[in-house]
Amino acid sequence: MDCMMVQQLIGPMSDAQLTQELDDSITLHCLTCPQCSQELHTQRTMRTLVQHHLIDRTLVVTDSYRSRLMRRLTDRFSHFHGTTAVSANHTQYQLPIQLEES
Amino acid sequence: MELLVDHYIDGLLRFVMRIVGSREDAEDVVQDALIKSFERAYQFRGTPASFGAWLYAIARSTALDRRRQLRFPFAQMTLIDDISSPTEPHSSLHALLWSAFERLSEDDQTVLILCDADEMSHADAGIILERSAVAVSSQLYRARRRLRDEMARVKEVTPWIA
Repeated sequence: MDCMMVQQLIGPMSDAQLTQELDDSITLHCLTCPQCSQELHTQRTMRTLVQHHLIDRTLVVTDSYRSRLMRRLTDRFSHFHGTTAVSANHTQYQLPIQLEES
Repeated sequence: MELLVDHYIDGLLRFVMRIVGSREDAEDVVQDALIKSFERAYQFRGTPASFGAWLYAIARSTALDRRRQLRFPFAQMTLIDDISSPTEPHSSLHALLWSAFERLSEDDQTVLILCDADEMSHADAGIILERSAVAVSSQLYRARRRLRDEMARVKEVTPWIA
Protein backbone atom coordinates (compact mmCIF):
# COMPACT_ATOMS: atom_id res chain seq x y z
CA MET A 1 0.00 0.00 0.00
CA ASP A 2 1.51 3.34 -1.04
CA CYS A 3 1.18 6.80 0.56
CA MET A 4 -1.40 8.04 -1.94
CA MET A 5 -3.76 5.17 -1.20
CA VAL A 6 -3.16 5.44 2.53
CA GLN A 7 -3.95 9.16 2.54
CA GLN A 8 -7.24 8.45 0.77
CA LEU A 9 -8.18 5.89 3.40
CA ILE A 10 -6.99 7.69 6.53
CA GLY A 11 -10.21 9.70 6.84
CA PRO A 12 -12.53 6.67 6.69
CA MET A 13 -10.12 4.81 8.98
CA SER A 14 -10.36 7.45 11.69
CA ASP A 15 -14.15 7.16 11.39
CA ALA A 16 -13.93 3.36 11.85
CA GLN A 17 -15.40 2.73 8.42
CA LEU A 18 -12.81 0.32 7.06
CA THR A 19 -12.44 -3.43 7.38
CA GLN A 20 -10.00 -4.75 9.95
CA GLU A 21 -7.74 -5.91 7.13
CA LEU A 22 -7.49 -2.41 5.62
CA ASP A 23 -7.05 -0.91 9.07
CA ASP A 24 -4.11 -3.22 9.72
CA SER A 25 -2.51 -2.43 6.37
CA ILE A 26 -2.66 1.31 7.05
CA THR A 27 -1.34 0.87 10.59
CA LEU A 28 1.60 -1.13 9.23
CA HIS A 29 2.30 1.52 6.63
CA CYS A 30 2.15 4.32 9.22
CA LEU A 31 4.71 2.55 11.39
CA THR A 32 7.37 3.25 8.81
CA CYS A 33 5.99 6.44 7.19
CA PRO A 34 6.19 9.58 9.35
CA GLN A 35 4.14 11.64 6.89
CA CYS A 36 1.13 9.29 6.83
CA SER A 37 1.49 8.69 10.55
CA GLN A 38 1.27 12.45 11.13
CA GLU A 39 -1.81 12.67 8.89
CA LEU A 40 -3.55 9.88 10.78
CA HIS A 41 -2.72 11.63 14.04
CA THR A 42 -4.16 14.91 12.71
CA GLN A 43 -7.43 13.30 11.63
CA ARG A 44 -7.90 11.56 14.97
CA THR A 45 -6.93 14.62 17.00
CA MET A 46 -9.26 16.96 15.13
CA ARG A 47 -12.11 14.50 15.44
CA THR A 48 -11.59 14.23 19.20
CA LEU A 49 -11.28 18.00 19.61
CA VAL A 50 -14.51 18.62 17.73
CA GLN A 51 -16.30 15.91 19.73
CA HIS A 52 -15.18 17.38 23.05
CA HIS A 53 -15.39 21.09 22.39
CA LEU A 54 -18.02 21.74 19.74
CA ILE A 55 -20.87 19.92 21.37
CA ASP A 56 -22.63 20.59 24.62
CA ARG A 57 -24.54 17.41 25.45
CA THR A 58 -25.97 19.05 28.55
CA LEU A 59 -27.88 21.46 26.34
CA VAL A 60 -31.49 20.27 26.29
CA VAL A 61 -34.81 22.01 25.76
CA THR A 62 -36.59 23.39 28.81
CA ASP A 63 -39.99 22.08 29.86
CA SER A 64 -41.57 25.48 29.25
CA TYR A 65 -40.17 25.68 25.72
CA ARG A 66 -41.31 22.14 24.98
CA SER A 67 -44.81 22.90 26.25
CA ARG A 68 -45.07 26.08 24.18
CA LEU A 69 -43.79 24.25 21.12
CA MET A 70 -46.19 21.33 21.51
CA ARG A 71 -49.11 23.73 21.98
CA ARG A 72 -48.14 25.56 18.82
CA LEU A 73 -47.74 22.37 16.83
CA THR A 74 -50.95 20.85 18.14
CA ASP A 75 -52.92 24.01 17.31
CA ARG A 76 -51.48 24.11 13.85
CA PHE A 77 -51.65 20.42 13.06
CA SER A 78 -54.75 19.34 14.90
CA HIS A 79 -55.39 16.84 12.10
CA PHE A 80 -52.40 14.75 13.19
CA HIS A 81 -53.36 11.64 15.14
CA GLY A 82 -50.49 9.45 16.29
CA THR A 83 -48.44 8.80 13.20
CA THR A 84 -51.28 9.42 10.76
CA ALA A 85 -51.83 12.81 9.19
CA VAL A 86 -53.86 14.48 6.50
CA SER A 87 -52.17 16.63 3.86
CA ALA A 88 -53.45 19.95 2.53
CA ASN A 89 -55.26 18.13 -0.28
CA HIS A 90 -56.99 15.88 2.28
CA THR A 91 -54.95 12.79 1.46
CA GLN A 92 -54.38 10.62 4.49
CA TYR A 93 -50.78 9.49 4.95
CA GLN A 94 -48.55 7.91 7.56
CA LEU A 95 -45.77 9.89 9.20
CA PRO A 96 -42.54 8.32 7.97
CA ILE A 97 -41.26 6.94 11.25
CA GLN A 98 -42.73 4.80 13.99
CA LEU A 99 -41.44 5.39 17.50
CA GLU A 100 -42.15 3.23 20.50
CA GLU A 101 -43.61 4.86 23.57
CA SER A 102 -40.89 4.65 26.25
CA MET B 1 -46.35 13.82 16.78
CA GLU B 2 -45.27 14.25 20.39
CA LEU B 3 -43.04 11.18 20.17
CA LEU B 4 -41.44 12.51 17.02
CA VAL B 5 -40.75 15.89 18.61
CA ASP B 6 -39.33 14.33 21.78
CA HIS B 7 -37.10 12.02 19.78
CA TYR B 8 -35.37 14.78 17.83
CA ILE B 9 -35.77 18.04 19.71
CA ASP B 10 -32.64 18.08 21.90
CA GLY B 11 -30.34 17.07 19.06
CA LEU B 12 -31.95 19.61 16.74
CA LEU B 13 -31.52 22.39 19.29
CA ARG B 14 -27.80 21.61 19.74
CA PHE B 15 -27.28 21.37 15.98
CA VAL B 16 -29.08 24.62 15.21
CA MET B 17 -27.49 26.50 18.10
CA ARG B 18 -24.06 25.93 16.61
CA ILE B 19 -25.25 27.57 13.41
CA VAL B 20 -27.16 30.55 14.76
CA GLY B 21 -25.19 31.07 17.98
CA SER B 22 -27.89 31.96 20.51
CA ARG B 23 -30.39 29.78 22.31
CA GLU B 24 -33.24 32.18 21.64
CA ASP B 25 -32.67 32.10 17.88
CA ALA B 26 -32.10 28.35 17.97
CA GLU B 27 -35.44 27.76 19.68
CA ASP B 28 -37.22 29.86 17.04
CA VAL B 29 -35.45 28.00 14.27
CA VAL B 30 -36.28 24.58 15.72
CA GLN B 31 -39.93 25.56 15.95
CA ASP B 32 -39.98 26.83 12.36
CA ALA B 33 -38.17 23.72 11.14
CA LEU B 34 -40.63 21.38 12.86
CA ILE B 35 -43.58 23.27 11.43
CA LYS B 36 -42.07 23.09 7.95
CA SER B 37 -41.35 19.39 8.32
CA PHE B 38 -44.93 18.59 9.37
CA GLU B 39 -46.26 20.73 6.54
CA ARG B 40 -44.08 18.83 4.09
CA ALA B 41 -44.22 15.39 5.72
CA TYR B 42 -46.41 13.99 2.96
CA GLN B 43 -43.66 14.89 0.47
CA PHE B 44 -41.10 12.72 2.29
CA ARG B 45 -40.05 9.81 0.08
CA GLY B 46 -37.09 8.37 2.00
CA THR B 47 -36.82 5.40 4.30
CA PRO B 48 -37.79 5.70 7.97
CA ALA B 49 -34.07 5.67 8.83
CA SER B 50 -33.44 8.75 6.71
CA PHE B 51 -36.29 10.78 8.23
CA GLY B 52 -33.96 12.27 10.86
CA ALA B 53 -31.51 13.40 8.19
CA TRP B 54 -34.38 14.95 6.23
CA LEU B 55 -35.52 16.82 9.33
CA TYR B 56 -31.97 18.03 10.01
CA ALA B 57 -31.72 19.21 6.40
CA ILE B 58 -34.81 21.39 6.88
CA ALA B 59 -33.43 22.68 10.18
CA ARG B 60 -30.08 23.45 8.60
CA SER B 61 -31.62 25.40 5.77
CA THR B 62 -33.86 27.34 8.20
CA ALA B 63 -30.90 28.04 10.48
CA LEU B 64 -28.72 29.29 7.63
CA ASP B 65 -31.49 31.66 6.56
CA ARG B 66 -31.68 32.96 10.13
CA ARG B 67 -27.90 33.35 10.36
CA ARG B 68 -27.85 35.42 7.19
CA GLN B 69 -30.35 37.77 8.81
CA LEU B 70 -28.11 38.24 11.87
CA ARG B 71 -25.45 40.88 11.55
CA PHE B 72 -23.43 39.76 14.55
CA PRO B 73 -24.09 36.14 15.44
CA PHE B 74 -23.83 35.57 19.18
CA ALA B 75 -21.21 32.85 18.78
CA GLN B 76 -18.77 35.27 17.16
CA MET B 77 -19.28 37.89 19.86
CA THR B 78 -18.61 35.29 22.54
CA LEU B 79 -15.53 34.22 20.69
CA ILE B 80 -14.08 37.73 20.58
CA ASP B 81 -14.61 37.98 24.33
CA ASP B 82 -12.85 34.66 24.83
CA ILE B 83 -9.82 35.64 22.77
CA SER B 84 -9.38 38.94 24.52
CA SER B 85 -9.47 37.28 27.95
CA PRO B 86 -6.07 35.67 28.43
CA THR B 87 -6.80 35.38 32.15
CA GLU B 88 -8.76 32.18 31.56
CA PRO B 89 -6.16 29.58 30.60
CA HIS B 90 -8.55 26.64 31.13
CA SER B 91 -10.64 27.75 28.16
CA SER B 92 -7.74 28.56 25.84
CA LEU B 93 -7.94 25.37 23.75
CA HIS B 94 -11.68 25.80 23.50
CA ALA B 95 -11.28 29.41 22.36
CA LEU B 96 -8.57 28.45 19.88
CA LEU B 97 -10.72 25.72 18.39
CA TRP B 98 -13.79 27.96 18.12
CA SER B 99 -11.75 30.74 16.58
CA ALA B 100 -10.34 28.39 13.95
CA PHE B 101 -13.74 26.77 13.40
CA GLU B 102 -15.38 30.14 12.72
CA ARG B 103 -12.87 30.72 9.93
CA LEU B 104 -13.90 27.58 8.05
CA SER B 105 -16.42 27.59 5.24
CA GLU B 106 -20.06 26.88 6.00
CA ASP B 107 -19.76 23.44 4.37
CA ASP B 108 -16.67 22.52 6.39
CA GLN B 109 -18.35 23.64 9.61
CA THR B 110 -21.46 21.62 8.87
CA VAL B 111 -19.64 18.41 7.95
CA LEU B 112 -17.56 18.63 11.14
CA ILE B 113 -20.63 19.24 13.27
CA LEU B 114 -22.65 16.44 11.72
CA CYS B 115 -19.99 13.75 11.45
CA ASP B 116 -17.60 14.50 14.32
CA ALA B 117 -19.67 16.36 16.91
CA ASP B 118 -23.01 14.61 16.33
CA GLU B 119 -21.40 11.35 15.12
CA MET B 120 -23.84 11.04 12.25
CA SER B 121 -23.09 8.47 9.54
CA HIS B 122 -21.59 9.79 6.32
CA ALA B 123 -24.66 8.53 4.47
CA ASP B 124 -27.06 10.56 6.65
CA ALA B 125 -24.78 13.60 6.50
CA GLY B 126 -24.86 13.16 2.73
CA ILE B 127 -28.66 13.49 2.72
CA ILE B 128 -28.41 16.76 4.64
CA LEU B 129 -25.59 18.13 2.49
CA GLU B 130 -27.07 16.71 -0.74
CA ARG B 131 -24.00 14.71 -1.73
CA SER B 132 -22.79 11.11 -1.66
CA ALA B 133 -21.37 9.42 1.42
CA VAL B 134 -18.01 9.16 -0.35
CA ALA B 135 -18.04 12.90 -1.05
CA VAL B 136 -18.82 13.52 2.62
CA SER B 137 -15.82 11.38 3.64
CA SER B 138 -13.53 13.40 1.40
CA GLN B 139 -14.89 16.69 2.60
CA LEU B 140 -14.58 15.65 6.23
CA TYR B 141 -10.96 14.67 5.66
CA ARG B 142 -10.18 18.05 4.12
CA ALA B 143 -12.20 19.95 6.73
CA ARG B 144 -10.16 18.41 9.56
CA ARG B 145 -6.92 19.38 7.82
CA ARG B 146 -8.16 22.94 7.30
CA LEU B 147 -9.22 23.10 10.93
CA ARG B 148 -5.73 22.07 12.00
CA ASP B 149 -4.18 24.69 9.69
CA GLU B 150 -6.51 27.40 10.98
CA MET B 151 -5.74 26.47 14.59
CA ALA B 152 -2.03 26.80 13.86
CA ARG B 153 -2.64 30.16 12.17
CA VAL B 154 -4.79 31.51 15.01
CA LYS B 155 -2.22 30.37 17.57
CA GLU B 156 0.46 32.25 15.66
CA VAL B 157 -1.41 35.57 15.69
CA THR B 158 -2.84 35.18 19.21
CA PRO B 159 0.06 33.62 21.13
CA TRP B 160 -1.66 33.95 24.51
CA ILE B 161 -4.10 31.24 23.44
CA ALA B 162 -3.05 27.64 24.25
